[in-house]
Amino acid sequence: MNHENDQDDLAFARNAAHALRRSEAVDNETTAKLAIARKRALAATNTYSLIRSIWPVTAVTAAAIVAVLLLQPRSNSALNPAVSDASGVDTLDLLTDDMNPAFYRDLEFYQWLAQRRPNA
Amino acid sequence: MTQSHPELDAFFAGAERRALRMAEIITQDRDEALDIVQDAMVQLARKYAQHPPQEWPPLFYRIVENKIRDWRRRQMVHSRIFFWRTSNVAAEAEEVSETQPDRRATGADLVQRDQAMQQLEAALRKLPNRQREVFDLRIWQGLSVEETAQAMGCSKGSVKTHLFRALATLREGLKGVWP
Repeated sequence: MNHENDQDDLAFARNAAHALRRSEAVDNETTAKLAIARKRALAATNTYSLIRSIWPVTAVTAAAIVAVLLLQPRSNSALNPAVSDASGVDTLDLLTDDMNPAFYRDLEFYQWLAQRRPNA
Repeated sequence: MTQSHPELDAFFAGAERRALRMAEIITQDRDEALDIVQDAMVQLARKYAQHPPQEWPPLFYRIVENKIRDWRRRQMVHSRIFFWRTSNVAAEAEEVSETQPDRRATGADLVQRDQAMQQLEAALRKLPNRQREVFDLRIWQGLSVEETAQAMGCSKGSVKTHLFRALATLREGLKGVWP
């Protein structure tokens, strides 16, 4: 019984496959469209190969650019320490302040006096 | 920079028509089927062109089957969202098919598909995805059990089970039409 079923299945499969393969014929228009699709696919292979070949160079270049961008602010601050330095801010405060410069001189004198008093 | 791929070109030339028919049986639309085949060819060319040529057939048909499955899924979602339009479209399509000959059958070089063939196609459409895939790959494409298992990403035992069920369903559905 099983053997008969297997034989029937085999015969059915063979007939179906034969009919399906026969139905694969297409008209000229479809053949042309398939040829275009094939060309596009092969062109995609070329593009992808190109991308794959330039990928390492692109990655190294990108990494170098990122590194330069990250290091740039540090090198600026190293070249112009006065800008970010605390003493630089003090100097700028003095320059931009409306207060009389004599006040700062007096202030320095009183600080000096205060430091000397305990020794006196 | 241009590279030629004569082997891949030859493989596509030999496989494209079968892939087109596989897609066309499910989509019932040649343009949709062409899109599926083109997408599959592009995907194979991009990802697997460097693989040995003997690996291409299972890979290619796996991609085609996945694309067909995606298409079916999209159609199901579309028909759920636009359920009122789908029924109208189906009715219109039915009317058109009764009054006009099938677009695919009009070409001079097309094989005249008889009623039995149309019934086989309808039966294939009704099969569950896995059963249809195993039938396509094992019976139609003629891949070995191992290659079919590789293409479907399952065991050889599963291939045999799906094929047994597919053949049983098809034979039952086509009783009286196919021997």
